Amino acid sequence: MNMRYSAPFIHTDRNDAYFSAVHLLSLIPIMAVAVVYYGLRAAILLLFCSLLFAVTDDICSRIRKVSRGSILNPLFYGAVFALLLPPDTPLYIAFTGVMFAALVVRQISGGRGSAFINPPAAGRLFIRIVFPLNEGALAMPCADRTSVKSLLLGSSGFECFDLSKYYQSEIFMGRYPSFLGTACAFMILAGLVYILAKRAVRFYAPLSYIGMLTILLLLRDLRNETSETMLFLATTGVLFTAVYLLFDEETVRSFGTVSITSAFVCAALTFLLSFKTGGIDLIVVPVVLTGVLTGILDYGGKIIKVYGEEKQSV
Amino acid sequence: MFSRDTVVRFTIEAFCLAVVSVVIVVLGILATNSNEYERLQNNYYQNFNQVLAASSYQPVQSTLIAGYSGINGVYEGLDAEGNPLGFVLEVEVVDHQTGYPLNLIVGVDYNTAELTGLTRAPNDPRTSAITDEQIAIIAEQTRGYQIPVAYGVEVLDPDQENSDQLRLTGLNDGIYYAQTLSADRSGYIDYVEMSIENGIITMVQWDAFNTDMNIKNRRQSSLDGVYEVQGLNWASQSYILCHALMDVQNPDLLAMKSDGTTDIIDGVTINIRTFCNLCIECIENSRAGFDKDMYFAGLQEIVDGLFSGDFESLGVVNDDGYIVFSFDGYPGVFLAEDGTSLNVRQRVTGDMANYSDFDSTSGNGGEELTTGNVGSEDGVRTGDTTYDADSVDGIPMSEIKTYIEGIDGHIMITADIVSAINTAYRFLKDYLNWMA
Repeated sequence: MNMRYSAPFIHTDRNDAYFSAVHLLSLIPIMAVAVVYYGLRAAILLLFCSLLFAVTDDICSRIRKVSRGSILNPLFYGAVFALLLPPDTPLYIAFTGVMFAALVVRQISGGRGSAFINPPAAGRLFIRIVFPLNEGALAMPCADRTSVKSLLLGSSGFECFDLSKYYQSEIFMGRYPSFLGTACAFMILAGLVYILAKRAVRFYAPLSYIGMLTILLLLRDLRNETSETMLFLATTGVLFTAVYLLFDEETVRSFGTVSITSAFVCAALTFLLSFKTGGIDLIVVPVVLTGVLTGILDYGGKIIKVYGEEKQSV
Repeated sequence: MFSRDTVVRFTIEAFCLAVVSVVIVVLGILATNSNEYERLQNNYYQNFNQVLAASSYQPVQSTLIAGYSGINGVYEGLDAEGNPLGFVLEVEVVDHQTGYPLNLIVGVDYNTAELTGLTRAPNDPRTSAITDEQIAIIAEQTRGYQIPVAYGVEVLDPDQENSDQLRLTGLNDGIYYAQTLSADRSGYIDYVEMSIENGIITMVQWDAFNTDMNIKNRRQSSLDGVYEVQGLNWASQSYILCHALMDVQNPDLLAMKSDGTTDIIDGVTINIRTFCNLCIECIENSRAGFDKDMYFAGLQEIVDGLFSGDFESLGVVNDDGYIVFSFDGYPGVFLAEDGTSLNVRQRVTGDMANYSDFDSTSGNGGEELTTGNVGSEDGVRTGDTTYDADSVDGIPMSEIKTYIEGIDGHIMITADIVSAINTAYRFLKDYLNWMA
């Protein structure tokens, strides 16, 4: 839980709005992939979720009479949420997810800067539980780009596909059925490069997450095929987790032992979950669980600290 | 918030990021398109090869499919040279015992309208009680026979018997071929390929390749909308005409008028003179035992002779192996000493015997063709479980080509599976004006 507002006496562009803008711009490569692969429905979902998140956040801030801050931050959250959706997600499901993320997760935990669970990840997990049938709807990329029927009716059916039949170039470019923004490893890395070039984040948590996960996967795959490790990293969406969910300084400690520890925990959870499940669970469940765990530890730590101070003063 | 400079900088960065990203994605798509095609074909091959063996499969893009009840997908099977071999149809019927859907894939031969295979579709939810073994029984009874299908006894109409197909006499089995010796105004050289088995014409294909080898053959061009004719597209008309000939077994019975058209074949409005002439040449070649390989060798020899044995360097063989050469500039090549015109066979073999007896009502009176399977049950069932002796699955009895015994003691199951085959037939009939 890091408050990230610049003090009024600090005259710099590197404030909350700056970081949010960098994060939002870093999504452009994978948003381009989503729109080129899935067409109009992807563009509508991205716009819908981003604007809905921003409007909801703004209204809540007005009601609670707290600082509204930069609109770019909720736009970023909305876009991240949309990029975690299957391409054929109907709008009512997207609406439900955004409402849960923006109202329940973010506002109940204290509003902007106070949430301890990543709102898009929590929103996505919520609709995964409430609308489980929506998870099967993974459309083929580059097919039917102009259709918007799914925005009202959802997917027309489950598309079976076998990832082992895809070529490395296709996997690298994310040209296989997946969620809107989690497949294209190349573009996710391009987004990462942009964020790092703009020096908008500290990379302790993401690096620790990917490093730990890679080590665990290599240990698992050493007996068989180590190429499985690369395939796992490229296709399960964990790169998206590292770059866009663990870079979130609002809900993840950006430096220090806590940051690295929570990233290790997140990686361990991802690794353990990979034996049981896949898909969106692997992307959002570890992030949400780590957020809850960190929140509890943080809260507990503060209570102990306050209790200790009171005891000393007595 | 931001200074003006920062806003401008972010705007420029956003624009550049968007442009570069789109360019990279588009390049990525172009680079992976061939992989996509290969995988798609592997997938098709895995799913469809057991019902129709083909080198590649192309989904049929037709507005007809979306609204066609019972048809989930249609694919055209092609050989290595891109010639059509048949269709694979994904058909959904209802298992009337359980009320659940049953998805089957049906393969149909392009030239003979014979069923090439029938099996459960890979995407079948397997909620139906109909087993793979029961599907296999019907597949066994129908494979190699013409569709549509009914189970029961075929009641032959004596009047119809006389008008049934008649075979020409003296035909030797084999594959025969003839092509026009001059290109038409569009540069097309027509050809007809004819298969004869047991003295019966079992396959006829009429198409044309172009002297400009960059232009697709006429069938493909017409399907692409590049080559247009009045009425149905040329490919469909060619198809109907070839089947009409297979039905009557005699080009004379196509009733070509003096202007080259015919009134008796529904859907055919094009000039059929070239087709008839090439068919006659094929039939004569069959009678003379001059098959396709001999024709090609003979034609090559003639072209070779014109260019002093430098055939290879001429580059007159197209990708499909046809000899693309128009003899427009060499009128004397196919003239006999007495001035009569020669065809390739006559030019090569010097055989001037008369093979042109096309009186099919004479010549041993013709021999009646029979359908393969005959069952043992009268009365047939339509798809909606009502019994109707006049039609099967909405198809008039007069169109039924094959009768099968079905699965012993399982009339409903037989009917459901047969319904899938007939749904495929109905679609192809509507799509190609088949069997018109």
